[in-house]
Amino acid sequence: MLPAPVGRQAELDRLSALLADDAPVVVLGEAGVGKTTVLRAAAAGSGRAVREGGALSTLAWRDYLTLERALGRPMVVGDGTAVAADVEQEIADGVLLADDLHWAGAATVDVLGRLAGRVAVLAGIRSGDPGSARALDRLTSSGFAVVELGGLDPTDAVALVGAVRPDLGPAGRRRVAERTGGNPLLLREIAVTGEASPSLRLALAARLRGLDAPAAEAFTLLSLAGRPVGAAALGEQAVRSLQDADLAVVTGDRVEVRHALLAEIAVADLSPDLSRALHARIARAVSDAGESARHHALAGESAEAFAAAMRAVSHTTRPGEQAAHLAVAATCASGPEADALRLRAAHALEAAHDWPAMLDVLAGLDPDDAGAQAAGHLLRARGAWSAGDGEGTRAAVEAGLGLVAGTGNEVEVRLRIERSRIPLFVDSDLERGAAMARDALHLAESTGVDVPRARYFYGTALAVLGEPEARQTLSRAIDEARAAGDTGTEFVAANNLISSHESDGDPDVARTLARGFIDRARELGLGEWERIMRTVLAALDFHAGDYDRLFAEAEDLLAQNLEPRARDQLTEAFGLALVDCGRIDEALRRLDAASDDMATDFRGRMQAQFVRVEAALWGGRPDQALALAEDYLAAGPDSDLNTHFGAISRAWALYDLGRDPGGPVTVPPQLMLRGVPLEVDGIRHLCSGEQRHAAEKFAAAADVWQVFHRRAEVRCRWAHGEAVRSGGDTAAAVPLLLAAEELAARHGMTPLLARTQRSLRAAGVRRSAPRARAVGSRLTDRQQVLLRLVGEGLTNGQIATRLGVSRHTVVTQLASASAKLGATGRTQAAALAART
Amino acid sequence: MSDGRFVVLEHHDPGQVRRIARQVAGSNPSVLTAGWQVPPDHSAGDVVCVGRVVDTDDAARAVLAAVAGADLVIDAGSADRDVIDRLCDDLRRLGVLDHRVEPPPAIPLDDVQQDLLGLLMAGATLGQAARVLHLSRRTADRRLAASRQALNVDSTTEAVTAARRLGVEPIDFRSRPDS
Repeated sequence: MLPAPVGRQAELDRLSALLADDAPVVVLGEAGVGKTTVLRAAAAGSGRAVREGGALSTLAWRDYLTLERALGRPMVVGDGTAVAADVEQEIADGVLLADDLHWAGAATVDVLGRLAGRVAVLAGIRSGDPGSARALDRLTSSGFAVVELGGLDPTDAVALVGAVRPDLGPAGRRRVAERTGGNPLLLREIAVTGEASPSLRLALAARLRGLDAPAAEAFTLLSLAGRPVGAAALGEQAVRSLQDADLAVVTGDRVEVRHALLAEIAVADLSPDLSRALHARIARAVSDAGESARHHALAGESAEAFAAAMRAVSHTTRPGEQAAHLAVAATCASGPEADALRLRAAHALEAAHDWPAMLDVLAGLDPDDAGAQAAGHLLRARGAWSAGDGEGTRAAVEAGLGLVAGTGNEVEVRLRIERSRIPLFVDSDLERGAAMARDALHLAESTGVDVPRARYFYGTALAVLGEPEARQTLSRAIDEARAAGDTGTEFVAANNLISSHESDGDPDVARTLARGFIDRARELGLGEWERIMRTVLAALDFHAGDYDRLFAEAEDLLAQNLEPRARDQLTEAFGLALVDCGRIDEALRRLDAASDDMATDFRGRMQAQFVRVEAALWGGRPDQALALAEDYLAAGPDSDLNTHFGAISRAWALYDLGRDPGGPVTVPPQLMLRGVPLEVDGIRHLCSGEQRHAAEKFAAAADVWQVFHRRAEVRCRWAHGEAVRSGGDTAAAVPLLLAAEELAARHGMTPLLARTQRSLRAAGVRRSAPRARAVGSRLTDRQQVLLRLVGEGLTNGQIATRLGVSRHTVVTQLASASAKLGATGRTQAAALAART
Repeated sequence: MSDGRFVVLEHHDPGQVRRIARQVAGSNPSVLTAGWQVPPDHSAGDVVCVGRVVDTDDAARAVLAAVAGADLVIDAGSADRDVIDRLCDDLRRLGVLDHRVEPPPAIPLDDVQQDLLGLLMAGATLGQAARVLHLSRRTADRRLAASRQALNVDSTTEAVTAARRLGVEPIDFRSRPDS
């Protein structure tokens, strides 16, 4: 029995009812929409004998091919009457399934018409093919009922994606569904591979090549517009062609592309001339002033673009949208007012955190106007900072000061304030950084320029130094910025206030703040800040051990345009969470894939490095973890608090290698870091056999981590139990280990769960080895994993550590896998299991 | 309905097409024939047809062979887009289509290195592999080290796995390799 196609119950019911009456029916729909699946399901559901045949594109010239394929033999020689009689006799009480009749010759369709009412016929025709109309006319005139098969509705489409890719979050599923217009073939392919294969893209492009010139142009125009366009702008005939070919959806008098994927293909190789001409047409066809301006600009019509953009600016009060419209106006502006407009646009873009657009706008400034250039450098300095480019910030500040130093004007004060954060964050000079930030705040207060921003810098310096008044200072900076309408400063200060709570205050307050600022960004139309604040919240979710939410958010956010530092932060949290869940290969793969996008600054590289340390450690490669951790610690400046966590990774790597983790470590005063020396001490005691001391330290560390880092808490809960167990007190150890096991299982922390269960087994509690799900292949999943690790060059011992099983198990499993594959050794087995 | 296996290749050179055809024919006793005529004296399930499709007539002949039950390996490198589109449309309906649009990845190994790794892949010891290829044990060792370097891996196991992923096939060392 075939599985029922998703979301097609209504169509199937209709077909079954018609079939029960032997009424002939033709199913009509676009390529890949699932006609054959539905036809087969209906035929199979009837319980009658089914004879299936289909026409073929390259063999359209061959009479009766469809019928020959259905009957499995040549037709009798004779006219249509004789052939119809022959088929009728053969099918008798069964069902004739005749598919792809848009490719069938006239003779075949004619015989099917004659069979109407004599045998049960299920026919299929692809819409939009040159042969469709003729075949459809002939069948309907013989009394065939027509069942039209459209795209899946959004709910069913999302459900189908979910069935193919259960690991994909709701946002990811929705995105796939939207791109494919509910076409099941496209849905499946994109869901499985993430992208349309070159072969599928070619097949889709073939559909576009089949359109006549006006329809093809209309489709390209719709694709460029990326939103519904009035039907009048496209021409009635073209709209009808697109509708017939199932390429466009018409709602009222608005037309829209049906599959975003096809739109991408349509505009992929567009000539610049045609692109400009079409943008000019779209600019005139859309009613929204902002959209119109954007298309005028892309059409090279500066004056029209400028006028429309300024109209759009006056229509909205949302800063994010205003910034986007101002940017269009500024790039199209000319004359004496142009530079003022460019600076206004750049300011708005800076507040909206849209740095690339800001740089574009600044590039148009008059090179001979020192004042304008200095103001431009100020904004560039902020842009470079946000892109993680500390040296770029320094260069821009110095270039700006070179133009206006000594004038005492506002731009000079702003540049000096900007400069005050370089010593702390670029040069890691804490003392000088704090002093310069304080001086800059005094300068701001005495001149009345940029006070909120200067206070935000000072508060940030205090936060780095672990001073408690940091949070008070940052809160005040946020209030001042909000009062002054300086949203850019408001949000950066909020970001730092949240991270100060995250590491040195109350993470619950941090979460509440993050939620509040997500809402505020949304309210103000600041999409970039909304994404950054969502990233901040996702990182807080990671610390709280809420991995499901993190995975869903990370997948959604990483698919969007994300500011580099936020992207790095999210990639790190995502990677570590994957490591915690035992998805180590995936973590490394994602890291490799992300490394092209990662900011080139020191912090981004350190974040990636830390994920590699943890991946090696929990992937059962302590030697590699140790080497990576040593590098990581040697490179880490004191200004980045997270570097101190490397000391813990290093200590556990040494423990795994049976070596002494060395003397105590010292850390800065932030609350979050108090767990570091405790945990490292615990590991040292564990190594030196002082189990009682180790247990105390781990318990204390776990209590600190409970507030700040769930992953570390679970690790220390296990270590606490393991210390008590190896100290000989099994009775006391078992409840501790069971509690750790429960925590690890609840958060899906597989490697820790494996360690905890190993400890439990050693304490005499029965635990079965984690079982892998079996698949169709003769090798078990577990054996395939083993062979993949062999292929990566891991030794049996390393594999045992990674999977939390004994070396003996690895050896027997590999032997069994080798035997199944007929291999003589582990190398050959790994090669045979590797996919070509 | 039995599902055929069809490989349509664009941007592949004749050597690559031949290698893929041997791969599709695989180890079970099948007949590899050039062109689109299915030999009448074989049950069609065992036939793999290899050839070029340039125009609509070729495409129709290839599809007829597929209808007769043959598996196909098609070099469509010099056919028009429209011909390939229609060919692929048909083959998708007759079985599993493997349409390779991009040229295959380059293998950074020379013939001897590929043979060496192919033999090891099939379970030969290095000594056996060296004998089959008429190399001294020392030369085989050196070629193997060069292969590891070319593939940027540390161990022979990794080299063999990597080569397999790049499409190097195992060579049964009890029979001589063809070339």
